[in-house]
Formats: sequence, structure tokens, C-alpha cells
Amino acid sequence: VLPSLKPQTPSLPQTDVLNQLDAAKPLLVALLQEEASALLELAEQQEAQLQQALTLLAEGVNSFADVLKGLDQMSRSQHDLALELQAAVQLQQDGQDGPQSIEAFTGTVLHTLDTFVEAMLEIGQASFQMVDETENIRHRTEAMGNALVELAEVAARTQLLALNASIEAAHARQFGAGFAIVASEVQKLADRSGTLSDHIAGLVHDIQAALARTTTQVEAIASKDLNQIIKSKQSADGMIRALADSEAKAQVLVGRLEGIGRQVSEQVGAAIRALQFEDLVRQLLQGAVLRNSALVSRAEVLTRLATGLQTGTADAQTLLSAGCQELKGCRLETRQSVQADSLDAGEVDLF
Amino acid sequence: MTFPTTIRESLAVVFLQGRLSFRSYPDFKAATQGPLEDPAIREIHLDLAGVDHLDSSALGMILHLKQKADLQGKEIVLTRPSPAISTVLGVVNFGKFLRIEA
Repeated sequence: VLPSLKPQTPSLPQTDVLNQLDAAKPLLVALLQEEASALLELAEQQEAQLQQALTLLAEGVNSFADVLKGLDQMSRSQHDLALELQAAVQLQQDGQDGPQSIEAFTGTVLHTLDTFVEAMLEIGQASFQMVDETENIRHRTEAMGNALVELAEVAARTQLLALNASIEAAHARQFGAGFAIVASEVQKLADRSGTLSDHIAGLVHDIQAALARTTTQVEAIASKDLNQIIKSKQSADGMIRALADSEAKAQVLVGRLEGIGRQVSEQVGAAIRALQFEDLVRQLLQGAVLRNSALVSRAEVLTRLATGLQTGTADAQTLLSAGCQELKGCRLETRQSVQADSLDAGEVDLF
Repeated sequence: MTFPTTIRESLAVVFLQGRLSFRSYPDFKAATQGPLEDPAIREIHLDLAGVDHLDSSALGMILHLKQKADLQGKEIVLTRPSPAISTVLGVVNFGKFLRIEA
């Protein structure tokens, strides 16, 4: 209808064109009004949908970001937990040497048990040395006892001899007086010898009784039932093995926990990177909103132009010229807005 | 209880039996004294197949024999212990002191 009214090359219309324009003005007004109305309706619908899409996108992204933050926190908690677990499986024992591992602790326990057992064996061995010595002493005291029996017999014979000498002295009357005195002294010596012999025999008996008691005490010291020791050591061995197994299992579990934690972190990182696409979509939608606004503006220009042409507030040339300027301004504004909202400007930084 | 003993060339075997304890010492000593004093004997085996129990004094008794055998340049070897006796010998690390043969 208006081939020379191209917006990009506005120029003053020719007289014949103006005449044609006047003739076509009602049609032009109707066309402008109809087109502007359709543009507005479409723009409103599109804006509503775009805003809804932006809202949904924002909500979805926020929810997703919250989930990722939760995952990230859980992953960190899992990592901390793994470290705590690793520390917990180390047996902490305060001492001069500082914290001691389970391996070192078990070594100490086993060494202590072995030392105890060795001491017990040494006691047993020494006990039998003592038994042998006691046996030697007992044999010697028995020999002493035999000698004392012989000594008592000698004393008895001496007494008998002294008695016979006294009898012979009595038969000799005054000639045997001196001999009687000697016989009496021999009698006394034999008596003392017998008394001493009895005394020593008593001492030997006491020694033998003491040796018997010593042997009994040595037996009590040396004889320990090994069952309790065996049970204790086996129990300690079992416990130590269980501790070592637990430590090994815990280390494996800690390793697995850390592995899972790393995987979760990697997945979270991948999800965060994926969210950058949301930024692109958001910018595209925002660009679409801007263009939609430009459509509305241009529809408003068309409406004003149609109204001006219809009411005749100014001549058609003036109105069209003004309309062209406004449309040119709208295009320029739209281009600047879209360029300012470049896709490169967006960046996602969730955490 | 008397413990039977066999001698073959330089080897003497003492067959221990029953429950070995402090009170077994006289018989133990009697059975081992001969091989211990025999210069032809270089090795004394204590056969444990017939032993069903031993306490700490029995272990001390064996170590005491080993001490005397060492002075004579002879070796004491424990042979054929039952599983239960093997457990006892293992718990007290007896293999550190004596050779043990199944």
C-alpha cells in the first residue's frame, strides 16, 4: 500500500502518494488499529508466558541449588565423619611415647604376656634346682642320722664297759679304788656322749622336717595350673586379632566413605556446571521479554498513528513522519537493550 | 609311675605318661638320670604321646633337665605331643627353648 514508506529510509512523500494516502487513510487506519491490537494481544500473551517461564525457571533453579548445597554439605560431613572414624580406630593411649596405634598396643600386650610366661618358666626351672639341692641336704642329714645311731651304740657300749670296770674295781677292794674313779669318769663321758647324740639326732630330725616343708612350699610355688594362663592368652590373642581386624575393616570403610564423598562432590560439580545452561536460558528469555516490550512499544506507536490519522489532529505527512521517527527510536532502543543483555554477560556462582 | 626308657645308639627315648606335675619329678629324674649320665647318649627324646596334662611345674621340670643336658652337651627334644599339649607348648613359646617334633 505504501511502498515508499519504508522505515529504514524515511523520505518526504510525493504529492501523488499523499493523494493516494488520503484516499487510503480509512483503510490504513483500520489496518493499523487491527494490527496494533493483534500485536498487543500477542505481546501480552507472550509476556505472560515468558514471565511464567522465568518464574518457574527461577524456582526450579533455586530448588536445585538448595539440593546441591545440601548434597555438598552432606558430602563435607561425610568426609569429616570419615576422618573422625579414622582417628577413632586409632587407640589413643596417653603416655611418654604419646598416642599408640593398635598394632603397637597389641605388640606391648603380647610382649607382656610372653614376659610373664617366661618368668613363670624360670621360676619352675629354679624350683627344681632347689628341689635337687634340698634332696642333697636330705641325703646328707640321713647320713648324719645313721652316724648318730652308730655314735649312740658306741656310747652304750662305753657305758657297759665302764660298768664292767666298776665291778672289777670293786672286786679288787682297796687296790681298785683308783680304777673305780676312772671307770666312773668314763661312765660320765659315755652319758654325755649319749645325751649329745640324742640332741644332734633331734636337730637332724628338725632339719629333715624343715626340708620337707620347703619342698612342699616349692611345689606350691612351681605348680600353677596353666589352663587359666592359656585361656587368658588365647583370649588376649583373640581380642588382639579382633581389634586388628576391626581396624583393617574400619580403614576399608573409611576409604569407601571417602570414595563416595569424592564421587558425590564430583557429581555436585557436574550439576553446578550444568546449571550454567540455566543462565543461558534465562538470558534468552530475558532477551525475549525485551523484544516483547519492543513489540508493545511499536504497537502503541501504531495505535497513536492510527488515532492521529483518524481524528485528523495533524496532516498525514506530519503524523507519518512522527510515527516513523518513533518506530526508529523503538528499534534503536530494542537493539541497545538486547546488546546490553549479551549472552556472554551471564555467569553462575551458586556457592 | 615309672617312665619306660629305650636306648638306641646315641638316642634315648623316655616315654612320659599321664599327668605331669611336681610330684612326677622323682620318676622323671629316675628315668632321665641314666641317659643324662651316659656319655654315649647325645640326644634325649621326651615322648609326650601318653601325656594328657601338664602344669607349669612340669614345664619347669623339663627346662631343668635341659639345663643339665646343656652342661653335658646333650640335646633334649620333645616328640609327639597331643593337640592339647601342643596348644600348651605353643602358648608358653616352648619352641624357643626346645626342639618340638610332631
